Amino acid sequence: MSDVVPDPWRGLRDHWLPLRWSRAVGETPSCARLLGEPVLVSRSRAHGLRVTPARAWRSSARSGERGERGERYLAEERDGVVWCSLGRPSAPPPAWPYRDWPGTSGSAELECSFVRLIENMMDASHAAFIHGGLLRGKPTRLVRYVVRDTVAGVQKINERERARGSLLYRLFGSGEDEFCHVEELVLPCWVRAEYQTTGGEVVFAVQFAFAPVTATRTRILYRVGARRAISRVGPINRVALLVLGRLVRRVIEQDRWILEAEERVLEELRGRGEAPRRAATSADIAAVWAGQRAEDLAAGRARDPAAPARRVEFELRL
Amino acid sequence: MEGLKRCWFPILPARELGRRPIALRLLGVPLVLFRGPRDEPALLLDRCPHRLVPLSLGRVERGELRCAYHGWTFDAGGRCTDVPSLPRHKPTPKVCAPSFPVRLVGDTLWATLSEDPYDAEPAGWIDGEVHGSLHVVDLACDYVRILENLVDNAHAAFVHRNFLRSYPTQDIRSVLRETERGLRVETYGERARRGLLFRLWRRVAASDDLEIAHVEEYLEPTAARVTYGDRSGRLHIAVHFLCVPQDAHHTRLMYRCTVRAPLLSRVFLPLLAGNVGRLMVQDRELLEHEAAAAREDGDGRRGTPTISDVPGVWVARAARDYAAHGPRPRAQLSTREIAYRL
Repeated sequence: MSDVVPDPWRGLRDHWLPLRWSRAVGETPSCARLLGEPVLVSRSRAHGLRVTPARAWRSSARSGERGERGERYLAEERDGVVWCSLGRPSAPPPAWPYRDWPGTSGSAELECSFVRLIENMMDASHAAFIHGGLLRGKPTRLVRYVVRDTVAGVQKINERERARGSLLYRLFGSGEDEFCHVEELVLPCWVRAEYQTTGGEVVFAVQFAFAPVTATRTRILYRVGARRAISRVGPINRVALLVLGRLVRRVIEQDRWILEAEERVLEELRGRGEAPRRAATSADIAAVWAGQRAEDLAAGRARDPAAPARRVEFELRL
Repeated sequence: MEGLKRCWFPILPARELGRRPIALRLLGVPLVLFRGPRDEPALLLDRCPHRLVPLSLGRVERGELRCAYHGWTFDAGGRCTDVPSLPRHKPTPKVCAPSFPVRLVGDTLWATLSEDPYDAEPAGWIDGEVHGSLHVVDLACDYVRILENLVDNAHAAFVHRNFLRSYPTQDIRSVLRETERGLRVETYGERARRGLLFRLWRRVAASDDLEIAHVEEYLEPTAARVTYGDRSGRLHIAVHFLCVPQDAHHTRLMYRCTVRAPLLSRVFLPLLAGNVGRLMVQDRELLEHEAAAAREDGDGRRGTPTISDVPGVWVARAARDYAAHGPRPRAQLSTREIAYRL
């Protein structure tokens, strides 16, 4: 028997993953974890941005040397985000979409797995319940629902949705206008949502960038932006952005409530050696496909480029 | 705990079931209790079959339980009646939340995990017809340890010092009798002394030299009953304890105090219930420490029993036997007399 445990993140090591917002990194090294690995992140004039294994600092403390040993992970800042890779990425870190739009950003860590969090973000039908009155109202309207594989992940399109009994739609929608809601998993770490008018103009966009902290803990960096300022009056706009930031935070806390409860159930099942059995319906296709793609990438299972792209279309009540 | 799966257990005082679903745990199984149609109690597995989220996070709508995550709705029998995002959804029997029998007997809700319980209906509380007060305490220890503690007299002088008993000075004798339903321990020769409860008792009985007979019973599968009375019969108090094993290391202890005392029961009952509550808090601290220490040792340490521990040893043996095999006829009922100091 081999004592070697297969690396659960072997497929993610060679990718850039988000570590912190740049504004949260200073000269004093701060602790973080990425793919289960404890790291210290700091920025100084002399050395620039540094992400080092925490073990390097511990060893140097024992030997009485000051600072860390020469070990470092690849780290770069782009669009206000510190990206880090524990391997050898083949390209520079990704740009953050719609970074120039007025908006608000934040971060959170949830006690649930990376894959489960991605599934949740690609799932449309939970919003009317967990985020009822905030994101969506009670499901009453039939929308055209398209899910398809893309090169980088999975895309989901809800057409003919309407601004209804929810706070965010009232803020950004107009009466009973129809709009199109596109959500896309872009591997290795993004879920991006865009809200388009019937004319195809993107008016509102949300991006979530995920990084596994441990097998059951995941970090999210998020940004919400609108094409136009909410108000032309500067102070009002600033207040509106603050309110928007609080609302997004609330949405994430609501997700945390459910996902962490689910994670506790899964942990109990794992403890008993039972495999979780879940019922799925057509409304779950986007989440299931996204979860599969994320799981395959994390485990290093390459997708067959010749595999046919899947596509389904049906009506869903949202 | 296979032998316990077909038993009825009290799960909640009925007064505590309101409009919100309540999460419970019985024999390691997570359960959700809610008011179904016509306000009748309903009990389901606390997991939505969709994403395994606890249904107890959801809400009750017209006698059905709606999951907090995607709004899937389940009736009192656990059938899925609504998947809101699918307009043409037809419920299938495969997709359901398993349901369990639940009954209201007196002021308590009872449940079993089996469709074929040993008894068709829960037995209810002993002295259920007598005015009493019902209480609940949760302990982070296994139920056998609690039962052992309930038949153990010798700890009272220390854990409940000056409250129930004082330093042991009286020679007493206990008679242990195995019964068809468990074990009965009758203790004679104890006289009311320095303990607060005994002083109160002496006042009620208007006697300075009062011999108190007390009986501790273990009642299969997880119950115990402690009865105190004087020879004059003027006062008789009883506490019926029912251990509800939540899992291997957590127990919900429900107990009901009753008092039979002419004219005084209404006055004495709240006093008794309050004092028993305090005793439970004192016991909980010790029992939880003991259980934690045993878990650290891999549940292998059994301590060093003496003659005064015989009731506890017999109870533990009988309770574990029942938990493993369920009810079994006894070939021979043993009796033993022990003498020690209280």
